[in-house]
Amino acid sequence: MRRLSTVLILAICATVLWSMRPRGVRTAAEDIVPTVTEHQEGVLVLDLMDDLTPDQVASLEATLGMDLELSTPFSADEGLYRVKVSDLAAAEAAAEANPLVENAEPVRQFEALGYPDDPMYDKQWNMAMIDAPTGWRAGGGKGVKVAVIDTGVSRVEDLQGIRMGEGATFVPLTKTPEDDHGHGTHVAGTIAQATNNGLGVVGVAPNVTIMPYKALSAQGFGSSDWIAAAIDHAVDNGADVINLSLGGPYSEVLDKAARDAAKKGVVVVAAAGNSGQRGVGSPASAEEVIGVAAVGPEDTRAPYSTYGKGVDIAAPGGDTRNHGTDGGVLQDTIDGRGGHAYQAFQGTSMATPHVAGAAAVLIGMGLDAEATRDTLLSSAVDKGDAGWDEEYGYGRLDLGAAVTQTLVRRNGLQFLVGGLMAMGLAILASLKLSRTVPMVAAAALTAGGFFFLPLLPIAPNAAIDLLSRDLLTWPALLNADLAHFPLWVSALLPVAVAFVFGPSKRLGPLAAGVAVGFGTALLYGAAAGTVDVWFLGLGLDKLWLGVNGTICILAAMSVVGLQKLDHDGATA
Amino acid sequence: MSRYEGTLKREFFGGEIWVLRAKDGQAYQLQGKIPAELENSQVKVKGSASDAAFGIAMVGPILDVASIERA
Repeated sequence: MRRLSTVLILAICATVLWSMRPRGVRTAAEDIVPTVTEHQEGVLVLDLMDDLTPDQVASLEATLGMDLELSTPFSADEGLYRVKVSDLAAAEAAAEANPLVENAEPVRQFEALGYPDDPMYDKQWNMAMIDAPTGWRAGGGKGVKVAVIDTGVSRVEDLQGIRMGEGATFVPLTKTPEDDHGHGTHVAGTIAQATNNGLGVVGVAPNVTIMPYKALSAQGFGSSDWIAAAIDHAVDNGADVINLSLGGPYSEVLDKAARDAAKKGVVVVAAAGNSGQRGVGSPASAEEVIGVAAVGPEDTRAPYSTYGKGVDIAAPGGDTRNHGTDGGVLQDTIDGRGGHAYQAFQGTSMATPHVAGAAAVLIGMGLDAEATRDTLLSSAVDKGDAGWDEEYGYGRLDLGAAVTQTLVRRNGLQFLVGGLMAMGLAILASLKLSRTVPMVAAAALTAGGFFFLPLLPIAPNAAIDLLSRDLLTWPALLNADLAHFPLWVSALLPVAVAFVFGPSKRLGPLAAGVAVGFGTALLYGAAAGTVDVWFLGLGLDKLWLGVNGTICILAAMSVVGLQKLDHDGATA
Repeated sequence: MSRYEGTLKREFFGGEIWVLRAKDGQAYQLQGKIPAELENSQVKVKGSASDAAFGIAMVGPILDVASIERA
């Protein structure tokens, strides 16, 4: 009878949860795409043998009956092509069978379902280079404030719908932080252009709040005290990241403002300069500031990029001098005639907001400023001389690797804590080894999943996505909002599991482990502020997570008690 | 007021800028009215370092141009 009523309660809870699921809500970037099914049309990427002649490519096209396009205007050397096909699985098999094709695979993740649907996304070689899609899936900088200290920011077409905080101007004779040049709006676009909105182009971290500060004139100039005042103001108003796509000679006033901001836990990112020579000026040269050099579309130092001490990392800044507009960084900005235009710019100014956006994504995942800086630099793709060098700093920004590193560390830590907590409980209760082992394993895996899978040399796929994360964030794979539903991020599931399976000799230890593991993930979310709970704000979400995490642990303790009674009874 | 000599270049960093490239390799960003027909010519510039020394172009020191003529 008790079993029956438990099953009934669980069924009712499940029905309520299901009926309250968010529908018709199109959240920015976190929807995960299912795997390819039979006869699905889509885009196939082909990696051809290196050094094929144009004739060989043409004959391959004829053999396969495919009209291959270069993946980007710069993919010829790597032999990367793409083609739209009506049956992905069949086309992939046919292509792979051809000896001129090294590898063929469907365009992964978002693109397969037309994600993102921004029509000019395919011109943004820069976003592919840093793996921006992985950043969107990791929250896109939700809840993070990024100050853009520049010529101002105007809400052009493709910045509609982006969160924009109250701004300020520090330029005499101007009254608002409206952009009267075009540079600042372009920079803000790289950070947070509206993404998957069916318009224009994408940004690195579309879920941030942009704080627009005007400290440069309509001609693009400013004095060190205007910029320093803007930095102080940004810090006082809660900025998490400050983007400085500007520079000049050494200035103690400016360097001090930037240093103070960094000391207060703000990530400060600044452009290295466009002199093409050695000698990075303020504020990028300040040690606490992340100085950003530029690479062109071929992923080598852009000819204009300033090098030397002060360069910490490189990011896509484009090269329109050698590659025309295709080689620039394309974003929406004002056109100077009251309208807007999608413009391809080059410069370390353009490289800098890629790093600022990436920093925002990591902060949104719960990292503090120091960990964000360390992760960005340590996950960068090493270029030039091994380790740090004058041209690339620690390497070229790789947001995908930074996110993976962050997830592996977080899940690895939760795995360890979950496992140790379970072991502690088992030792306290002097549980038998045969019950301790499954309990500890279940706790560790529930808390952190097979966290190390993304580090293995396997192409990322949906199974790895699922297995390498904690149970708590599984629903995010179906719909990002589900993972924030209060009854999911609660003790409900573990307590139910403990209640139903706790008394069982075989399943009891596993149930206790699940409760410990789930509780660990909830408590970590409370401590690190990484889990948002719907309807709850102002710290209530942390309280909710903390209380529910504790209930999970208590539930596990009662199961362990039952288990102990059981085997004490058995031995007595 | 100082005098500078070099090649006048039009460059693009988030918009059009005028750059004086001196023979020693030093680049100056020119601020003021620059006649477009002097592009790629050797020019003599009279000017002074700008108070608003920071900017988006970051090619080198910013000069407020008092006069510019073909060398």
